[in-house]
Amino acid sequence: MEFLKRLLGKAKGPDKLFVLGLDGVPHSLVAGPQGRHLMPYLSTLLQQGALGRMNSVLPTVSTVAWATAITGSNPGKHGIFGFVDRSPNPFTTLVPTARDLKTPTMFELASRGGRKLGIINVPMTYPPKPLSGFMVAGFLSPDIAGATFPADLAPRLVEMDYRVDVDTSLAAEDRMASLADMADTMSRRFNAALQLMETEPWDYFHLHIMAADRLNHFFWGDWEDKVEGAAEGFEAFYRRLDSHLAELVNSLPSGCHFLMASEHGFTRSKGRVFINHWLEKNGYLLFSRGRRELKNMHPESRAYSLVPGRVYINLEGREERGFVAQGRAYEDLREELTHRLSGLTHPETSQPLVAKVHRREDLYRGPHLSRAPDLVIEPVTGYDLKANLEVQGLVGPPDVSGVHTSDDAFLFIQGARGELEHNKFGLESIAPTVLQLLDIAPPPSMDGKSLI
Amino acid sequence: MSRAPATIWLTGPPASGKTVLGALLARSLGGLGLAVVHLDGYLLERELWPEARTTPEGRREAVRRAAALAGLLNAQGVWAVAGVASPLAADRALAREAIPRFVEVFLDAALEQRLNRDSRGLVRLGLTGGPGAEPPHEPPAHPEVYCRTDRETPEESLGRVLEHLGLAGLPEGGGGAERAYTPEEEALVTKRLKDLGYL
Repeated sequence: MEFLKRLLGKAKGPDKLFVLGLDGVPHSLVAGPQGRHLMPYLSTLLQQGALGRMNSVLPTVSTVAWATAITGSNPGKHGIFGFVDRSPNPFTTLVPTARDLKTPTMFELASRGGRKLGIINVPMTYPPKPLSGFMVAGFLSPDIAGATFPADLAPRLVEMDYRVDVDTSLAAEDRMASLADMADTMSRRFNAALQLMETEPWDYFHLHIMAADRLNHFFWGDWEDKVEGAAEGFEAFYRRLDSHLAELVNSLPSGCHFLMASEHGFTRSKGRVFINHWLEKNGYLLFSRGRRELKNMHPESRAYSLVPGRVYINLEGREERGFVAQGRAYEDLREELTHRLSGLTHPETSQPLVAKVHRREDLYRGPHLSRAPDLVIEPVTGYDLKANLEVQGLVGPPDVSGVHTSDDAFLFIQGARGELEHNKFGLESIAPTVLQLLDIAPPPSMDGKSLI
Repeated sequence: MSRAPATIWLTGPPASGKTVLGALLARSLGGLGLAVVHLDGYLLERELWPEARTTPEGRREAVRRAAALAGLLNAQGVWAVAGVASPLAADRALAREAIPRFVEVFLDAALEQRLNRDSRGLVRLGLTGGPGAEPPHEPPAHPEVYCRTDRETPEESLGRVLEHLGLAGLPEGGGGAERAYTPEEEALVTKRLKDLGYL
């Protein structure tokens, strides 16, 4: 019997795990010479484990990406397809939240597995759900008051000067104040995490730093152009991130696993491409009198778009005033749009704007495929696909200086032997890897496989 | 089956997938606009009757309490998804008697598969026969739904249960789950997304 117990039982209790999410920090930055220059501690740390360049998702936005990462499933299973979604009949748009996730997250699974959790600021966690431990929901929380489980954590966070997100309006009003606000918001989040690591019991702590994404959105171009003040501020942010990282890693308990990841990369923005403008100019999207909003589109419209690059056919039997018949007409229209959108070029430079147009069934699989956009446009790197209606042309100047890339996220597992083969794995690997590190078997329904 | 509240009683040996299917079911029923409570056996035991696991009488009493709770919820218009171990057929028969609309779902999986999923160590405990080990699970003779969770995904099991309930393929009410935001909060969050260039 003792032999059987030894064979089946655990030699010790479950290991601790710390996961640090660095939103929008590219692999090419952390692994390249600029990253080594700006973040010497990070550079040294990366020598102590396996680092890999990770594929993101389409569309490449944080909510879809983190929903994929924390569920280990593709959008056809978890049901999140963008920052906004639509209910087709009656037509309404909405901002999806954690309540719309259709599959359990690694947090729920770890909690059910008996682990104590401390989760801070991960996207797609608002509203927070009860779990074993505590959760501070991410940037889609309207305010701190409703962002925590348990609820009595909120006043403690207020005392710690914690912020849900940076002040996004500052970037347009006062660039230098915006830089200071981003760095300050990041510091407050690290400081709150360090305090809670000390005071709360935890087996699995997950801290997410959103401010890096904000910095890259608003200042990536300034950094590349070496704009005086802004470029120095950009670099100072990453230096400060490096010193917070050093303090954090040095405060981890002995033997604690450490994993670090981003969910997409960044590059300089080349411009905005207005898909609904193109659909309207080419007779696919029609408006009669009244407010030019998608909910008021003419019943004979054949297609419309939501950001970024999600195209929906105005399908009979599905949409409020569906016009395109199911079956052959639907497939013919998808084929026609795929062909025409694939050939979009910049009106001034004739450079291509679209890398590929995907049919939904080629990207996603699962019980919620029917809610996915009919087509997903993948832009040429640097272009931002928009759905604005009141615009003058197909392409407009950038409204932010950096945009997401889909093939340049990173994953680092401290202490892991071997290599993570670049771009041979994706975000859906994160949840099963985290669960494996927590000694919890990942459910077979997850699409990703543990990288351990 | 009508939309009148019922109790969906998930039974199966440890690590057969009761918690995962229970969560999926509760979410799906909620998405259809039904009031639903997930009575997860592990949480009930941990929070309400931690003594239950230690004796056969305790386990029977835990089944009785869970059934009484589910029945009370049903009587007040709330669906219950009860993922309670209930390994003994006689205990489950008591639950069926106590609940007017009782749907028994049997989750079955091979030992090897359950050992792989055994995050709480209950399968191993059952093999070693230590204190608190569950007795061997007695499979229901005539469950309303039978799911082989080692051969199908949780989503497929979910579809099987919804099909039995006559609720498969129905559109979710109100565009999905209950909305998390008030109109004012959604306006605030939307402005934040616009400031970031996301909309």
